[in-house]
Amino acid sequence: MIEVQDLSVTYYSPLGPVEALSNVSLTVDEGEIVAICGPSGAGKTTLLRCLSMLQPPSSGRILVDGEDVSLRSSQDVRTARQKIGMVFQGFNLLRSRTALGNVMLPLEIRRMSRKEASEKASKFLDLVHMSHRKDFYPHELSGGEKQRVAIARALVTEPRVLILDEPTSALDPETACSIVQSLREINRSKGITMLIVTHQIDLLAPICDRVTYLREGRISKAPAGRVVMPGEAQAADGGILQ
Amino acid sequence: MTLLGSAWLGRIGGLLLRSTLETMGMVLMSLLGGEILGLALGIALVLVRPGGLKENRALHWVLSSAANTGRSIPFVILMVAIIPLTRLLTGTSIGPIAAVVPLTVAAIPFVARLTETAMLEVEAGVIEACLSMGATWQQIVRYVLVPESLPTLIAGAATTAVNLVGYSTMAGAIGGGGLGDLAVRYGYQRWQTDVMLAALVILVGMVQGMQFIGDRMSSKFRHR
Repeated sequence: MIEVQDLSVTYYSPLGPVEALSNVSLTVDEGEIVAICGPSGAGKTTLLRCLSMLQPPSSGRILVDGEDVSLRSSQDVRTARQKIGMVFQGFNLLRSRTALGNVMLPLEIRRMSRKEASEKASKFLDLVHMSHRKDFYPHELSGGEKQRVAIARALVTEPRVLILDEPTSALDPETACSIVQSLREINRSKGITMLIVTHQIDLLAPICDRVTYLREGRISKAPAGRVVMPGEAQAADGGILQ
Repeated sequence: MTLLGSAWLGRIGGLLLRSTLETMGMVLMSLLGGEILGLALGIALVLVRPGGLKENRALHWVLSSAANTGRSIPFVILMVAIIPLTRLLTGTSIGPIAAVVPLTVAAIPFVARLTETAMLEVEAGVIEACLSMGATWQQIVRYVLVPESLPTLIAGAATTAVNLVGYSTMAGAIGGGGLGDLAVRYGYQRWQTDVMLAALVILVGMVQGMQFIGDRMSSKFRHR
């Protein structure tokens, strides 16, 4: 489903080059929920931005459904982006649109009629239990409600992959648990592959099939491919504790 | 109303009404032209700036310099300098219709900078969210930049309108018609201060009204 091959991203700052990601390789199978965790500055968000094609990699490849999306024309990138739904850490809802309007947006971008877009968007708001708040603007919604609207917006185009950047970090524990349960339900009912960046691994590990640990731009494990499984803990030197 | 008041109004009322309508016509027509063209220039400035969706540094330098130049020319000098253009477009260089040309030209760079400032305030994360949905730059402008900055754009239009009222009175002082022309001809040249005061009261009322309408409309679209 998603295959990352030797991905590297280097930023150039006045102090010299900064390697945000270094030869990261990762595979996510269809229908899996994979968490990526690590300390701040590990490169988690950079990895997500590369996967959603918001950030071009310096080297390496990203394959989504067998197609290389890392080096493409802008038209191809736009088409490929429509296969991926993204939920951002700060929700990134449009203030000028209601909850329903926000969920309709991806469909309008695809040139669906407003009537059809409204009907479809309503169904997805129902999926995330937000139908009763569809006419409210983002400033009238709580953090958890905004996150649900953001999830509905990411799902409404029925993507194959859902990428979530810290979906629970801005929420109180109870709301965060509720969001996690909703993600599990969506994965089970729709079979959507999910890639979740989080530093709240305790909260998300129960719904994840795998957990990958990233540190200083590298997958933190010894030779290629070893991951931190749910139930294991990560030592300070990168080793795995039992 | 007293007999004297009625006589005064009868003498001056027609003049005041015509001059008011001329000023409102000048302001509204130049506001419309300035907003349309200024909005287009402002959007272009946002798109081609360094880091913009259609980054083009050379074009940005040209457009930015043009906007800066337009804003730095004093209005009275601008009016005189573009007389040939005014004559080309309207067939004359005097009167309220002719005055719309320099008023519009003055409004364009002002509106462009207000538009640019308003759109740069739109959260980068929201633009990124739309890019991740596969939006084109045209769709970003249509679905994000304009709607998200609309309250500020409306407030900016009110500010532009108020500026244009001031400019229109300057235009009136050199043959443009309107309340400025009335104030100068009767108030200054004929020492009829009552006419000048009446024109001033109407101008103040006009500005208050425009600002009030702008504030109300801006609030209506502000969802935060």
